[in-house]
Amino acid sequence: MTWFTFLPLAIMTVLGLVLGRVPSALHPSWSARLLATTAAMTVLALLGTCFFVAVNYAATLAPSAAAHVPEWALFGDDRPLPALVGVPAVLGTAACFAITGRTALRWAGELRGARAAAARPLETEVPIAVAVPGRRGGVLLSRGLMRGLTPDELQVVFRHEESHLRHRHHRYLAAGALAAALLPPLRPLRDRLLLSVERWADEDAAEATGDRGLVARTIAKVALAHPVAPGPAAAFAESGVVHRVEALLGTPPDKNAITGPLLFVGNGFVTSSLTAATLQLDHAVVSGLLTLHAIR
Amino acid sequence: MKRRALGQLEAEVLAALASLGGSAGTAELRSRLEGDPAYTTVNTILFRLYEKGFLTRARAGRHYRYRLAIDESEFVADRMHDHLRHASDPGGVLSRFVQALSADEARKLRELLGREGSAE
Repeated sequence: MTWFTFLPLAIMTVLGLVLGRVPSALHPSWSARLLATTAAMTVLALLGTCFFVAVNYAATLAPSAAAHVPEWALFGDDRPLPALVGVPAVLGTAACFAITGRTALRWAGELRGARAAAARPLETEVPIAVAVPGRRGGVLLSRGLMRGLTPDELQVVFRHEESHLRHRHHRYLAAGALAAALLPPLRPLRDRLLLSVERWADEDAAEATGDRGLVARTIAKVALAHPVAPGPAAAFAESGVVHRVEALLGTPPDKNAITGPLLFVGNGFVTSSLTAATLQLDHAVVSGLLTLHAIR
Repeated sequence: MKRRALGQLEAEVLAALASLGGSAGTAELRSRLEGDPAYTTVNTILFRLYEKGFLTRARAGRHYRYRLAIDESEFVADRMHDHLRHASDPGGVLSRFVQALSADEARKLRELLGREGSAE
């Protein structure tokens, strides 16, 4: 083990921190893809780093057992791993799995609750619309929303939620939520991802209805019909509604037909290579090639 | 009597109280509830609702009279919100059309719309 073991994870975390703080000029659909890939890869890199350091620490503690561990999983320098690094790695791995499990359970509960509730409109005057993913999902609406909006405005809501469902935005949100749960400094990344996903659906709704102003006014109308969140304003995170309305009242964003895919592929290549390194996949590939060579 | 989940009995008591004009004593309420629950059960539920802030009470002779602290529809909406809290929670996978605004954001939004209205 050298300090290079931690380098991929460190680079990814810094990338996540930067992407979370610097607003992207890309079309929301591309920035959402970029942010979600980074979040997902950082999660994998964190799990990989903790897990393999833990495995190598275990090999240090019990060299006889290490013989049963595949060659590629070991760092290969045969140097004992200090407890100062090994113990946190073991604890970190356990914590990562516990947090991931808990978060997944929570999502399952959420989806179950929402699917059960989606069978009929919610009996509340608060205008609510939620996209519920899955085969038995759909769009969950409240009576207040159906009563308060004109047919045109309801169209906007449906187009927006449809975009969430069609593009499976819940997976993007899951990647962001997990990254933020495992690495709290990445919360800004998750928040930006959340906003990008909403903006993406807004743009889809604007395209489908052909009226950006209508989409902007509908969002504002629904938001203003909510009871104002109690407490001092500073205590609440920005909901992003103001930004969304502002963006819709401005000119439509460039589609980034070339820069979007280019950046996405580039980012995907870099982050997946770094992640592969934390998963010891480079070792696996090399040992695989060596075996092939030996057979020949 | 068939056993019911506590939450359900609480909701039934609230509904019965609402149908009695929002204020009643324990005995009166008990006659309105299905399945003839025990007097002490009803009392316990009432006390629990009182502790949660859904009811207020005033002494009337040897017993208490309970009164709805909030409108029943508000209570239902509250429960629904509780259920849907996760949808506006950044850690979840459900996305709501819009989230509740802070007072500051609501002001900004009105300004924005006003500007657009005058430009048209």
